[in-house]
Amino acid sequence: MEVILSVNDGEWNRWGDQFVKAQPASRKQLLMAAHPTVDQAKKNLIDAARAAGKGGRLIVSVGHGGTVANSTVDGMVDLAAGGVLRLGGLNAKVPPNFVSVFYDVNFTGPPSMSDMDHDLKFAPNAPRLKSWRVYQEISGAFKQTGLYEIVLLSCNVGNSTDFVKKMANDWGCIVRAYKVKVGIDRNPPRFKVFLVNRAPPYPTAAETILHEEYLPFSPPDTLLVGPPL
Amino acid sequence: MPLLSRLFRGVAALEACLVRDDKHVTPGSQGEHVRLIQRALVLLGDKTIPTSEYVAGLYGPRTAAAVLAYKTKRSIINSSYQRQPDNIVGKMTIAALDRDVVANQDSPAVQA
Repeated sequence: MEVILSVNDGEWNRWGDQFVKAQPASRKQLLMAAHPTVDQAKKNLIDAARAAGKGGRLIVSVGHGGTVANSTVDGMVDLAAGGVLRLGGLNAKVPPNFVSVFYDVNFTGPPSMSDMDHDLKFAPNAPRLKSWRVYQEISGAFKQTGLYEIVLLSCNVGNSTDFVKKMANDWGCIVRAYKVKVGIDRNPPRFKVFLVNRAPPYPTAAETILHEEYLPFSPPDTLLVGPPL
Repeated sequence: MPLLSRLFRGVAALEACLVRDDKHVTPGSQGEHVRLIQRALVLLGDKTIPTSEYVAGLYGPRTAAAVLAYKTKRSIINSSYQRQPDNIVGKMTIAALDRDVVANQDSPAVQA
């Protein structure tokens, strides 16, 4: 099953409706509030992963993504609307980011320790440790479900290759992310999702259908990474 | 036998087209049933129908040309009175489209 988790903002969820209607037997949409709490967002993500099921595809269409020039380990991506579950890369500030996905990694080796090990030993009530546990719950649910793929329908984060690889490793599945800006063309009742370099107009019905009912498809603009085999 | 494809089955105008000569879908027609025919043609590889005709659900000149191309490619001709295919969706054409859509309806994506 292909499940799209969309922010209920009157635009992306309506594109999600079109996406599902095109192949209703194999696609399903779940909604996330525009301003969820962390717990609500976590539940939405876990429910969506379980709805996709083993071998399924989860499309996260809830927020923003970003990259940092000349760094593969830095970037950001929203797992929830309103920025409440904003994942950051190696040098992410927490807050405003929710957590750095490299929190558990010891880059310099012993006798140094990862930020997570540091907090476990010296600051067990640190907010970032609590945030990490939420991330772990979500990641654990993704991995346990045995998803085939998670698609981050967000801008630019596909340039942050090592950042996305870390998530793929944590989630135990392939992660697809876009290297360019992802836009939505609002012309109610029809909505089109496009990559910035394949923007409107769409002269043919074939292009219209492609942008109204399918994920953006452009291999050169897409990062596709998986966990170690 | 009724239409079998997920795209067409149960659509009254197209089911009627399959069995009644007076329900053929012809140039100038407009509606959701026309849009479904256009979607079928796109699914089967057409890249010529303009967005304007598709959004309007209009059986315009480019849709008619796409139908003619489809019928020519598959030699859909009613030999009782024709030597060449026309640009009308009649019984034979809707049946052929339905068969082709069934064979292709689980394709991963249209390619624009």
